[in-house]
Amino acid sequence: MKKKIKLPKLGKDVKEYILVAINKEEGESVEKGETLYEIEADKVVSEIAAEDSGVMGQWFFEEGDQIEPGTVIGEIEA
Amino acid sequence: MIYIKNDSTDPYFNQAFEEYIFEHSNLEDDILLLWVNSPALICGRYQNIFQEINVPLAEEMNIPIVRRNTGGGTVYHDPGNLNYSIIRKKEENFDYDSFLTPVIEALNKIGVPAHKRNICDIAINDMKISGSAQAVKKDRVLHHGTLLFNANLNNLRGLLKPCEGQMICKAVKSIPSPVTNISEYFTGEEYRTVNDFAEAFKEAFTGQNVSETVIAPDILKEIITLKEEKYENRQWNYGKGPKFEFQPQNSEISISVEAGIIVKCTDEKYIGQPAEKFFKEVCK
Repeated sequence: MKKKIKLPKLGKDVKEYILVAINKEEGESVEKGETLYEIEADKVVSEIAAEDSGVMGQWFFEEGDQIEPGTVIGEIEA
Repeated sequence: MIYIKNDSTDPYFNQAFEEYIFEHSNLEDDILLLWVNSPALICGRYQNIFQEINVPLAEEMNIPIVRRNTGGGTVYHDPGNLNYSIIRKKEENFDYDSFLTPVIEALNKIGVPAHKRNICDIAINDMKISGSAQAVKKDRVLHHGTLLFNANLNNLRGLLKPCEGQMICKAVKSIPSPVTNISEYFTGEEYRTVNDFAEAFKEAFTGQNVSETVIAPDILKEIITLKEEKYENRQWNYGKGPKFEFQPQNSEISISVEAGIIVKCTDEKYIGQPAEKFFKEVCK
């Protein structure tokens, strides 16, 4: 089953994050709790952990993209 | 609060030291680190080094360039700059103020007329004396900042002038601000050196409620391994920068760089070379 990866809203005033690192390539296996990607806003870099185990599916964005919180950025085949 | 002593001035080691403590401490209590680097340029997690730094000049002056884990812009460190790191458990609604307010209160207590400016700067009047940034990982937050005590501000200005030209890149850009040294605002002989200042700041910041500790030799070994494998490694410092395209002013040659390596160039001899080779030869 495909599970959507949705960009969280971590700070109340944050309107956009920069995707600064994608740590799992498409097809790679993912363990719940592993760092999946990193985002930056207001000089804060946050590591975001996988909420599900499975196989990394497609990423809909690339590093350097500016993305609004709540956007679906990729999917995991859980 | 726990204060962990670190007398090293090696910028590679100090980044590794901070990362190790951030990732492995049990955080029953907040942790404070105070540290000083020998001259170094420390760039933000997602910055393009070539967009921020005069790389050939830094190499000529033997000034290392090190990528850190937190966001934001490039800073120049030297023995006149005191760095502080605060590591604590992540709370529900953490922000910069919960870290900056006690830092500013401690500065005020020791006679520095500092106030908060913008989201995460500290200033005296209109001049910045401190910038800060954060990293968040699982249940913890690292907040760190600079405190310009008597840094060489001329070096800072020269090294942060990159090669001019047309740059296409999605990196996080530094926001330059007018800066000043804290030492200029002391009228007496209170703090002659950055070490005097660090000691006074530590006392004011921690009060009586502090236990001081040093790193055990086996942990030190692990920190040295992290330093060698990550922070001294070109793959981290240059390779983790964003891809970019660049054409220097007054040059016909243009390059495309990915992971710090030139992948396309109008002059074939540069293809496959590290980007700094091009900047050294073409951007003098």
